[in-house]
Amino acid sequence: MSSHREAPAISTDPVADNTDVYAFVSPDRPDTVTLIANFIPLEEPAGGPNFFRFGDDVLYEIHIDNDGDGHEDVTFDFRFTTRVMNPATFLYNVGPISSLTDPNWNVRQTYEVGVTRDNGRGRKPRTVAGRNLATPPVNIGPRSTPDYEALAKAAIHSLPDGVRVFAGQRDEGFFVDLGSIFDLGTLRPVQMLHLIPSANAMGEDGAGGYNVHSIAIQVPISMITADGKVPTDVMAAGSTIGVWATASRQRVTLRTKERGADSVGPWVQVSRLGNPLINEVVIPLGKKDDWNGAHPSRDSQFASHYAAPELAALLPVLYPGVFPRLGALTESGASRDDLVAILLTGIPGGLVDGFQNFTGTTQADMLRLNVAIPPTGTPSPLGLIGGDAAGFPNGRRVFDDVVAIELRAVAGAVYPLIDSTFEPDAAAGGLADGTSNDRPYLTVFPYLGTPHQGYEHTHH
Amino acid sequence: MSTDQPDPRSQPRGTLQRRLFLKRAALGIGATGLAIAVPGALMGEATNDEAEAVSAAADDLDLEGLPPMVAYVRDAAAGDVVILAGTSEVEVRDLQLARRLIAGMRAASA
Repeated sequence: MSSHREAPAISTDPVADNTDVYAFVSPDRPDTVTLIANFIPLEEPAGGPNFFRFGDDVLYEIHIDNDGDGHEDVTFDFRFTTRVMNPATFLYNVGPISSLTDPNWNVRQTYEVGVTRDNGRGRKPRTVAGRNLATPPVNIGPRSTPDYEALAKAAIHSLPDGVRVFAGQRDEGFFVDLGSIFDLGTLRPVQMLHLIPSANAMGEDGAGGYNVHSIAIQVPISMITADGKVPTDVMAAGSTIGVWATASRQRVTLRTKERGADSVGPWVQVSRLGNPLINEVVIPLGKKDDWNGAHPSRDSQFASHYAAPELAALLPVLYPGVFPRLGALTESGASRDDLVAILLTGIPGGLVDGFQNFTGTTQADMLRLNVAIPPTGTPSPLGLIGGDAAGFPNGRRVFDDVVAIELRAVAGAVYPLIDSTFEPDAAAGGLADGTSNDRPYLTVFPYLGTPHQGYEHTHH
Repeated sequence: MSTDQPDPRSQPRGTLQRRLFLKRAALGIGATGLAIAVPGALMGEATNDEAEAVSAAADDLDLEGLPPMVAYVRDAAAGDVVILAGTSEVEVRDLQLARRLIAGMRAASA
């Protein structure tokens, strides 16, 4: 999936597994940017008695680079603390939960938000933006959480300087036909053309019916740009920020009879995510754990995989006769500089009329968001290739169909940006897995939909 | 956003020179709790003044309620020992310390 269980090590550590990152100019507050990092892949809603929660021993961070060097200039960090109100019961709740202070709610989690800024002198003083912020309970069912939307709304906290934050369970907003794609690259809508054919069918959202734990923060644009201003010139260099998220654990965990588990030592990055699907399908198995632990400023070491993605070579094999031009392009050994630009440096000006999100020559896997591009009232889930410059790969909105966008890009649909003589295969521009999300998104912060309840839900 | 706090990711890393490590330990500065690792094990190669300073600092330590501290031998042949406390990590090169840890472990498990 986007980055769910995508690498060997992190697949065994779900609370630290960063599954998706979103960054977009907030449609209802266009003077702000919303940043979302999701964790805990394929979270089963019926997760009792120990329902899912963030890791108290994990350092969660969302980073922003505003000068194109691949290093964080602003970092928001999130640390969680769990409290069990009554350890004498096995129950998560002993009655309906009607508020965030309801005595019926037994297992609660609060968090602290910190902000660290690079002041340009090599020092990064950290300030606490909020303490003891409540997360909502998980969505258990109609008897335990009868008005879940109200609980979630109460867990949206306003912080100083116009910042808003939410952390807690949401619907898994990413959609993908997980069952087919990892069955030898099958795309159900066109599987009659597959090397092992079967009748075409509708796509099935393999993430449907599952939840995720989201950290969402909405910040004024002026807080995260290099000059502290709100850019209005799309083509100006300072208009684009780079965004990625990480999760870190301390180097050692001691398990003792006296103290339970104690973590000791410096924080070690165990999960990273900028652009969707990269560590999933671009980075090979032998390097996935390294990629998760690496800093984006050192991503040039992985650039060869972006320039020659394995999937581009597989498509002509898996779909015989469908991608002859892609096959010829791949066999020629041509570097896929279109993908390198989109994913590692941003798209320079002059390639797409009136658009750029270039951050310089430093190769770094970050979501690049040109904040001078306002949100649109008629968004396309296909983002930039759908004629909507406010969507992926200009940042990423919760509803962007990143699977279709990246499939098409890998298949050569945007290669003409760097080689006008290249004509993509006819199928490249229409590739999709045929899925959409199973729940509606919100039009307001935190934008991801209400999580599925445990009592009644379906997965397909 | 007003309260200055340490960056949760900022911590000393890398190899710490023996002299610096001893001086920091003696003065009670540097990583939290590190000083309690110094006496005895590290004093063999220190100057007399440094050793006395470390001993004095160690004698004054309040050891009650301290969180765990971890030391592991990263490279026995080189005498590289890594010490972890809180969110800090220092590495000292002390062949005698490495030998004592290994010999002690072997003796205990024999």
